[in-house]
Amino acid sequence: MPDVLIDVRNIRTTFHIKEGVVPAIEGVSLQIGRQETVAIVGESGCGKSVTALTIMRLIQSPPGRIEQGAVIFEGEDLLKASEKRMRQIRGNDIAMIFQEPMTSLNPLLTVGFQIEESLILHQSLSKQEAYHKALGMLKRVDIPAPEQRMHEYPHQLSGGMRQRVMIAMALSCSPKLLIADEPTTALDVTIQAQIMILMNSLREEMGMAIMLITHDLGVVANMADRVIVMYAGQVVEEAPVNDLFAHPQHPYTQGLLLSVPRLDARVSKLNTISGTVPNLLYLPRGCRFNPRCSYAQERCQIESPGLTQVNDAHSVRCWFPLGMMGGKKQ
Amino acid sequence: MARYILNRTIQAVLLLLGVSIISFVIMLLAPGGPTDFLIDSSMLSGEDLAAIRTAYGLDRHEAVQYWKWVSRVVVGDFGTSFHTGRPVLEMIMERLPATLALNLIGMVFIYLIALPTGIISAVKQYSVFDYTVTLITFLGQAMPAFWLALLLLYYVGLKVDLPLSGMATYGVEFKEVAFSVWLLDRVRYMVLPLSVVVLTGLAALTRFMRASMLDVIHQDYIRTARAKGLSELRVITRHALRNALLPIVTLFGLTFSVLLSGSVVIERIFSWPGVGQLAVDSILKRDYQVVMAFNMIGAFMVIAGSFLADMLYVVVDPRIKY
Repeated sequence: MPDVLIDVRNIRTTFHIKEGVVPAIEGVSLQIGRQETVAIVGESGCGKSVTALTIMRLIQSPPGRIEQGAVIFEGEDLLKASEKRMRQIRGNDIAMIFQEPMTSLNPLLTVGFQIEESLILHQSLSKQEAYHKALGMLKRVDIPAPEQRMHEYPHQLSGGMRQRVMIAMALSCSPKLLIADEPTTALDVTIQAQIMILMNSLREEMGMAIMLITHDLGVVANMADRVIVMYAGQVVEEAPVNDLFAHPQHPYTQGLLLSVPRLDARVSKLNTISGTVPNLLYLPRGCRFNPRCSYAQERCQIESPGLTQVNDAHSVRCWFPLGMMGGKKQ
Repeated sequence: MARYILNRTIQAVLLLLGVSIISFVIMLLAPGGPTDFLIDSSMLSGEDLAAIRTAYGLDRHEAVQYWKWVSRVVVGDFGTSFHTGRPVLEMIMERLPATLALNLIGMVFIYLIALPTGIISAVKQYSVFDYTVTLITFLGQAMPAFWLALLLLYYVGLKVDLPLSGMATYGVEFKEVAFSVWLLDRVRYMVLPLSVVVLTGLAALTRFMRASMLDVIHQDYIRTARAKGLSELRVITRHALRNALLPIVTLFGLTFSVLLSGSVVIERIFSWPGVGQLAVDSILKRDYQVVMAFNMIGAFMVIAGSFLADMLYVVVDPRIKY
């Protein structure tokens, strides 16, 4: 990768609850280059969102705790930065949009106020300047009648419009990195596509990087440069998007790809990955995926595999990767 | 909006009518009547009593009595007391300032203390402060007002030399003494009853505020506010507080009626000359006119309070329109 924007090194975040210590993410490392789109995929509870919140240092503490690792953003370790410094970075250098546009906007504040707020805070604009900039942002995210929308409240907007407002808010300070946590999951399919196209064009226009958290592989194929697959709090596979779709190395990745319904293949039943995500309090010994893996061997139940390089850009956490043929092997 | 207000007014009238019928029936069901408490009724002959009953219309059919009462009330006449012979409204008005003063000041203190305490307790959840507040409010809710009143009388009133009953020293009137003397006198009398009003009223509101704030700070939009880089203080004051205060508006509407009805127990123990005391005395003496006036004022205040709360919602919550 030519120019690394953010380098996440070996982070571990835990939640201390009554039942014990839940290791939500364990030894997660990832890099995102400038203007790159990296997708993070995995089932619910695999640690995607926790990774994002750890980068932003927005883990609720207690019960959460960032135990180890480093988040190097433009040469600065965010995990060692002061809270004051983090506030300068949040919303300004790294912005975030969330899954639920219905609940992610404050119901009692106008759309305009919520966009202006970060402009006034980070760019020390006057109320007047902030208003015009915010209005400009609403136009950029293609909201009809933006002057009127500025004075409206979130409940007066549709779901898609609210997500556009969220995007306008997040991008108002021209961040270098946008973390989008399942930005389209709660929206209709047609609206999903519009939002994705919008995000992509704004990325090119503003030259920012996107960390896209999703479980929609269709979105990944269209948007991402690289893909990171997470399972039970760990990165299990990382590859350029085409490579990953063509030659998945981890049985879990293969399972994910196979479980996508296809229009050109008439099948009576969807493929599923058998079993369920393990409870992070009672992780299986050895490879975390072994109880659900159809290729599991004895070694998988004893030793946990590390991330190994398949080639320059492709790495996998598996004792018996599927190989470039992508087929079954003994 | 106008339509909504009209609807609510019609509802209010029907409600008041319902309340009046029910309380009239309950009152008539209570054993005895006003004549039993006049003087030693054994000294009166049956004919005397019957004459009195006829004079007051108590011998008429209950429905007729009710009708006569209603037709007077709609023109603002609540009748005269059987026992004092004075207009009921005048008797209540005379008692009102004492109750209003105690409860209004009490309410101000309750809100001033409970809201910040509840908010800080929620923001600093699981801190020593939070645990202390939780413990104290729990005790406050569990403790009966009369018991606290008695403790205060004995351990504070007697030791610090505060007046134990009444609300003013005889002769210390507003126009007749220096303002400072008057004020100090009233404050000294009010300290103990006010303490009971505030201490017993605090607990519920503090817990309510804490719960409401806790609910809000776990909302998605608070995370959004933090992700913008806002300071924690601004997140709480600008984004969380208004949302957390919304349910308090309802509560305020509901407690509104307490302002006038007062606390019978507290007024009794401290001989506070308020409406609560008058109400209890009237019930015991079956002074129908006074009791009915109380019920109606109470019902009206509850209706007015909830109407006020609903109107306040329009101001504080942009999502609500009527």
